[in-house]
Amino acid sequence: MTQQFIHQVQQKMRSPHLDLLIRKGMQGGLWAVTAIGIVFLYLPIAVLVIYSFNASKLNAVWQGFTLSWYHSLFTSVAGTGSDFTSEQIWEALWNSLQVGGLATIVATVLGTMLALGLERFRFQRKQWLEGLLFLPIVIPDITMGISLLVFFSLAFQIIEQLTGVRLVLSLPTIIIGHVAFNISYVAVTVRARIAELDPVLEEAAMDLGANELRTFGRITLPLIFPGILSGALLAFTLSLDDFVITFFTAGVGSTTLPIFVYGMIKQSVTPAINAISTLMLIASLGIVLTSLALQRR
Amino acid sequence: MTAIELVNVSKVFLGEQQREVRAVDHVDLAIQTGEFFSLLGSSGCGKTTILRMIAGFELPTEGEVLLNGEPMGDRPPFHRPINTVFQNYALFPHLTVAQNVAFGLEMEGVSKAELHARVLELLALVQLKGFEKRRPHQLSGGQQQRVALARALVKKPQVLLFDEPLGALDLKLRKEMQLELKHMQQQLGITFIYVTHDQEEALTMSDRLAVLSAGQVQQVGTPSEIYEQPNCRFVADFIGESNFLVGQVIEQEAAGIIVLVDGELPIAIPGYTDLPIGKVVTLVIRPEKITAHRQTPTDEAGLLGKIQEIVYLGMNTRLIVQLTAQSQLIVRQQNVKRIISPMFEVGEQIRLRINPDNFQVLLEGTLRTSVQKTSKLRR
Repeated sequence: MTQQFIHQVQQKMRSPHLDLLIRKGMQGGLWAVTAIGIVFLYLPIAVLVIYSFNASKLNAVWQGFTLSWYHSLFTSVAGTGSDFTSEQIWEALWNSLQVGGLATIVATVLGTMLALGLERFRFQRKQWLEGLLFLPIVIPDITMGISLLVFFSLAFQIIEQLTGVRLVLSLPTIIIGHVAFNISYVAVTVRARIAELDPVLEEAAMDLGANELRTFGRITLPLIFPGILSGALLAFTLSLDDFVITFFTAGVGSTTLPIFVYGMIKQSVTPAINAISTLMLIASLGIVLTSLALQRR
Repeated sequence: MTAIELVNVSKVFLGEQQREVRAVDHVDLAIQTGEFFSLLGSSGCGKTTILRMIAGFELPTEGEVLLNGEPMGDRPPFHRPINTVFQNYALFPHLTVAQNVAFGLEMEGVSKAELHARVLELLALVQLKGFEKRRPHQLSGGQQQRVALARALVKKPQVLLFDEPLGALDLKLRKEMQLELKHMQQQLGITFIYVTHDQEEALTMSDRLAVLSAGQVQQVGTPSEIYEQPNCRFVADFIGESNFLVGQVIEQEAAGIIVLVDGELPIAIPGYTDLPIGKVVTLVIRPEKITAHRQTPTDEAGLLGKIQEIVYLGMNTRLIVQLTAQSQLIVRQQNVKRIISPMFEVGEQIRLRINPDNFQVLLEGTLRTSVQKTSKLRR
């Protein structure tokens, strides 16, 4: 009796109408879930961008469109009642660019070399090293920042005892810190590109009379170059945007843009912060998109 | 003169868990200057490893590779006057056709003017004039193949190596390229060493070929020697289709021997009078060298057999005939006349005639093995 009932219910559920309903419901549901995800991701960013054009000094109320916050970034001078001067912003930006540029160059060279080594040479316990490669990507920034801070103070102590020279945290320490975490990102990106490179191409070059060095210069390097560039752009973006590691490795007078913004928030939250953030967002987005486009090539 | 010589060459690779894999096993080969020489074998037989050792991509574990009598030692590929046409062409994707062909000359430091002239000359030779500015991915497989050939030939190598270069082309194009390569080789007089797993290709193109198996050379010879006088069961089986009859020498006569196949069927073979009585031998006979005849009361010539299977194949008809309790013979009957209704029927007793000169006698074999299929099937 019960079994028969269950059977009947199952038969009903198999009805084509119900199936169609389920299918439509699923399709609608999927659409809704996707929409929620997107809104969750981008609504705060959208608010940030929109309020960077808000005429009100308070973030909460919309009082009309203005470009004055963007304007203030370039024109504020000391003593005009502004919380910041554009000179400070430019200095922070310049610091960020210096750190980003130098860290990117060093990390790209080292990361590319690491990628080549890992991809091309066979040695024992290689999988251990491969695991280590991902460690800087997965360990928390705060751990990385603190470990770098501890490392630097220890190193400075030793250097002072040995040579009497007293070193302090400054731009170079930030750069070293950024190199440390960027190597992994570059290596992973470049490795993906090298893995796609057919080693027979290098054999063909040698077969045609090129020694290892010329083969590298004429065949390997040009072919993996998009990967290297893409890795470099990624490193540059990560370096520009980094706050936590920079915070731990920065000293007096080595304020980067993210650190400066953080400092501004501590005083007051003005739409000028939104304006700076929007500009940083656009710059990062541009670099990352370029990097992705290069990876596809 | 000998262009390439391999003396007792072995190559051992370290495989998984440090296990040794002997890819090439004590190979001796002498390839003459100006010869079209093929290395034929199924995949994993070591043919590509031999080629790579000649090119210098791999170094022999034992033995020596000699070029014009000179030991190559550990000389790198870029110091050997040998060039390779790779399996998938290995064209440089970021360079144009002209830059690909020019690459080898650039490495030699040839002057711009000469380089340009030579590149054009080679592109003309492979019929790719006007394709200079194209990139490899804009070319068809056949065109890429020609660029690869031009790129290797521009170096004027003494020896040109081919690693299954036609494998990726369709059948028709492959046949065209086979002939073209053969003509080019005859024109240029360069020694070609050609690796392939395609026996037809090897027979069509080669002056001589080596049949390889399990890292060892099984037989070296001209195509007809390899086909007509295989020196072992492997070669007879690998090249074309063969029937194998295992038997024992039971009688010696002045003109030849008598072999008792499967303990029941005596077959007379001319020659081989030095074989002792009791010696186990394998008789190899090609299916097209057997003729099938309808039984008549007056005609008693030939071996008696019962037809198991008849397959009409257009150009010929393939018969499988039970000869003894243990052995079958494959017979290929040329369809010289139009066959409207079958000549034979399954189950019919027929006479098979074989000219005893057509038997190849191999001094190997095991008696009383139940040989079910006399050869691998080939359409």
